[in-house]
Amino acid sequence: MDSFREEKVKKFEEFVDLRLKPDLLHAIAQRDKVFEQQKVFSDLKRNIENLEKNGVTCLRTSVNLGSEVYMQADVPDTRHIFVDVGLGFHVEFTWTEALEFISVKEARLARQVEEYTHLVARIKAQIKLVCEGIRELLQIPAE
Amino acid sequence: MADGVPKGTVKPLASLISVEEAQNAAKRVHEAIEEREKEASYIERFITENNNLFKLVHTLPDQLSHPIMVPFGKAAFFPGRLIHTNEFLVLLGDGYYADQTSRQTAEILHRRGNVLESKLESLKAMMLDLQAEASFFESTASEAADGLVEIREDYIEEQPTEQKSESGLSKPNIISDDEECAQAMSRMDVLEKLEEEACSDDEDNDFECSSMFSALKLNDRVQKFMDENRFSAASLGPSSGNCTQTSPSEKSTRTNPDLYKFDGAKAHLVAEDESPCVKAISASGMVKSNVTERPLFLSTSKEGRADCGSKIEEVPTIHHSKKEKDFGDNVGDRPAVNRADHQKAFTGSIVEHSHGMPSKQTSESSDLSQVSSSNAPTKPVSRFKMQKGGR
Repeated sequence: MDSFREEKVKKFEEFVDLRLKPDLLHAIAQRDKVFEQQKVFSDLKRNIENLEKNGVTCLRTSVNLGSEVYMQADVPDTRHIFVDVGLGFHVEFTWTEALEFISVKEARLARQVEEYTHLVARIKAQIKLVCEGIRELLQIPAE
Repeated sequence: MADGVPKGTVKPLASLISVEEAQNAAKRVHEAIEEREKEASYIERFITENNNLFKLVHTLPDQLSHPIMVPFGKAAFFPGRLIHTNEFLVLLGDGYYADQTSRQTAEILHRRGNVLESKLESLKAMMLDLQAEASFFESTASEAADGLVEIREDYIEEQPTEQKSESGLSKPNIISDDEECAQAMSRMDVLEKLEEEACSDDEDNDFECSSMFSALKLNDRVQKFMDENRFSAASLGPSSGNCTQTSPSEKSTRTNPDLYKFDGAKAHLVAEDESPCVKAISASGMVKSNVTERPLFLSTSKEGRADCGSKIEEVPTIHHSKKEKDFGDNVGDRPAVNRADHQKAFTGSIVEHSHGMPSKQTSESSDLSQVSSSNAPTKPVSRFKMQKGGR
């Protein structure tokens, strides 16, 4: 009986350690990626709004060539902007079109974040459940 | 008999180092190697990036401007162009930037590349070290798994005669060399009788066996006899027990007289006129060991040809070329090889390398042994070399 219980506990613990926890880590990493995207697009939105507000039509900026070596770059016309729409495609937008797209994109990203948050919560709940099961098996009184 | 208690200890390697532990250690080292490999690949990526940038920095000033897509944040671009192509803003570290020309930037990148290369070199050296460590652990694990034993005997500096008696084998105490010879001789007689009993069905075979003996060869049968008769091993005690303590040359000089006697008692092969000279020579130092060999071989080969003609007749032709080659390559090694075989025969320790040797040895008889005796080495050859040669 004892050995059976030990076996069971071991199986549960393995399930938690080898299945649920990696899953949780993966879900959290995915969510972080979406957060990053959100930040990128909110930055872009702010920048475009700034350009609009200040009526900037030409721009001089520094380009990173790699390994933190920068070179000056000149943008003669800022009214047309190429925005990444996903899967490696960039679409040429005007400022207003870009802002429209960004708001749609942000909504989608927010939905994704919510999905991942749910997933994380579910996995955490499962871990908690299995841990409770182990506790019951070992007949340790609940706190 | 000193005390009858073996001095040495024999422990299986597996009891000292558990196989699992060794394997675990090897696994851990392998993990460390993997980590280093990751680091190394990371650095390698930096290096290729650096090299690409180096080329880019060289080519950019060739034109006044380059049309590019200027990144605007991470998700957007503007069509634009690079201007001021000979001005670079280079990060020096810690948030400090410097305005540099193309050439200066190239120099900075070159220095960075050197640093990265040296880092990679040190990483690789570390990985080599770890790999050596891992292979050591693995070999230890496999050795332990194979049931290798560690034989350890404390070295106690004593008189040579006492040393013999305390060699760890239960053996009557022999004080003088003469007595030792007599003892060995009587043992050989017993051994011979046993062998004759076993081989009485086949005279030819028996003779061949004896000739193997006289040619100082070891084969399975001999080993079997020795195993069957512990006392025979005991009689060999002086040479076998001291294996770890005496140099090969010493050993061979000690075993040779025994051998000779054995040979004489065994098959009465040695001609009467040869024996005195051999004995006379065997009274003195190093060279003698090789000199004694010659009469032995001579007698063996003579008798061998007479009795079991066909077999031995063709053997010399087979081995002749090899022999000559060996002789040409390492004249000094040949006697050492013979001696190594003496050792084997009378330590009764390593059996497996001696299969198929007798015929070859018999063939080596006259001319070669003469050469070898004239080129007696003055220093012992390394054990590894001897084994190699003996094979």
